[in-house]
Amino acid sequence: MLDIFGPLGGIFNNLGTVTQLIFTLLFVLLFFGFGQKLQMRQYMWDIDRGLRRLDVIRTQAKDLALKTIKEIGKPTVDPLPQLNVLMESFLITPVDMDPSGIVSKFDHLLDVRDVKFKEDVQKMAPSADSAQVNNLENLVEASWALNTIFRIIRHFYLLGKKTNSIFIIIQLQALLPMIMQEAEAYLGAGRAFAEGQPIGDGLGALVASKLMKDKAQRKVEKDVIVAETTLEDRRIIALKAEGPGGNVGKPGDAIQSLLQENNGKVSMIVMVDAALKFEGETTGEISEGIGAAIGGIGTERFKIEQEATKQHIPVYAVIVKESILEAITPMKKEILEAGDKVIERIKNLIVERSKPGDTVIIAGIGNTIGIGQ
Amino acid sequence: MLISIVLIIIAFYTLNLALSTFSTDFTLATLYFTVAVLSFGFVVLSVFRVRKGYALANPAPLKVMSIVKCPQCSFKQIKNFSVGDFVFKKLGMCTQCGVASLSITGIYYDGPTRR
Repeated sequence: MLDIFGPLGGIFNNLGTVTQLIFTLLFVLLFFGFGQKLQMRQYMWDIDRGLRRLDVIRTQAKDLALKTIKEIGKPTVDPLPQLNVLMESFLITPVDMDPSGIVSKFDHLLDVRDVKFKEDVQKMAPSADSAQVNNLENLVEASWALNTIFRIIRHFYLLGKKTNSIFIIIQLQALLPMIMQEAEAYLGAGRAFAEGQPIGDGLGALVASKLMKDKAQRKVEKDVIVAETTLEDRRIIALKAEGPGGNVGKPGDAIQSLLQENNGKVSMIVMVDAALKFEGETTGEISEGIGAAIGGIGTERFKIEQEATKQHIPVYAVIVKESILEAITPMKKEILEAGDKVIERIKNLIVERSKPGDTVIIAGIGNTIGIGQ
Repeated sequence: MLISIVLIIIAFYTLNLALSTFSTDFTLATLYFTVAVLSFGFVVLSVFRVRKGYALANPAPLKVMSIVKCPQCSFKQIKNFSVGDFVFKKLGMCTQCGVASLSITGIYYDGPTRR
């Protein structure tokens, strides 16, 4: 029967060759015709897997927040509906078409948000004291962050799926490892906030509290504590957020008011903070630099820079390197031990850069959860 | 899901063909067997990927320690962190020197290196 194919009949006689030919054709069709589709499918599996993990993480964080609110706050009504409302809350940033004055607008919005968030948490947990309210607020914020991350990732995943856009999917898949790392860090942070444990970001606050221990303290501006001490014959004004509740305070406002209070007398400002390390760098490593070492969206930094520039005061930064996970989960031993080394570095810095009798502001920046003063 | 079902059917069919042609044509049987193994492998891989997606390692609580020190004497104790502990919390009387100056001087996470 194969004679009808003439010389080609021999090939068809060999079933192995035919099968090989079919497989080669299939391979070519599959990888050249549907290669991109297959790759997209592979990426979508990865994102789907990540999304499921994110869902589990955000549920765990929310459950932890709810459990802690019930344990500490002893609410008379179920706090879940109120917590759900907080989870979906948002902040509309000011118009930036005319950027003049945007910092004060941002600052005002953040203040309003902060006050409202705190009051809402207080309502959910009526029996909690102020430090516990601060911790609960941090915990709810960590849950809120996880919920927001999940919603954004789900949005882009479904959008990519709906529009069949490989570019949306590729970007999402490429960013996913970093997003997952951040999400796991937030979950770890939630656990630390629930128990009031110091976190890596609290290094600056820890250094300031070591300096102001057993000294007369007073409160300046919002949630910031100040104490005076001496170091290497210099008058030191140390400040930090009021602990031990989870709090970052408003160090920008505090430094601004201290500079105005000591008009022209302050010779330098030293800011101590935890900073994100690059991959490959050692946790707890100390670096010195110039400028206002403070995170956030920039409102606090703006105030410090503005006042320091006005009075021609140099601003120095001492930072301790750590990863994002280490910054928002319980403080590692290496970071704790870096605290004393930072004080030595500050001593060297002020000896080199100021004269005996000078006034120096040392600002311990960061979340002061689990760190008193 | 649909792809996995189709692949399972293909896998069983080719496995059956492989077994039936094993005695007559070894090369063809090997080919059928390879297709069956690949199909099964793909399905197993898919199932594991989905399962891994659901399973999130629930890590054990971190081992957090509190350092208790007395500045008046050499007394130092490292204890497990308990809720309510905070750095510079005053704990009262020192059991060694009897002075009321015992306090927590540090709290840290003691565990393996994280990312």
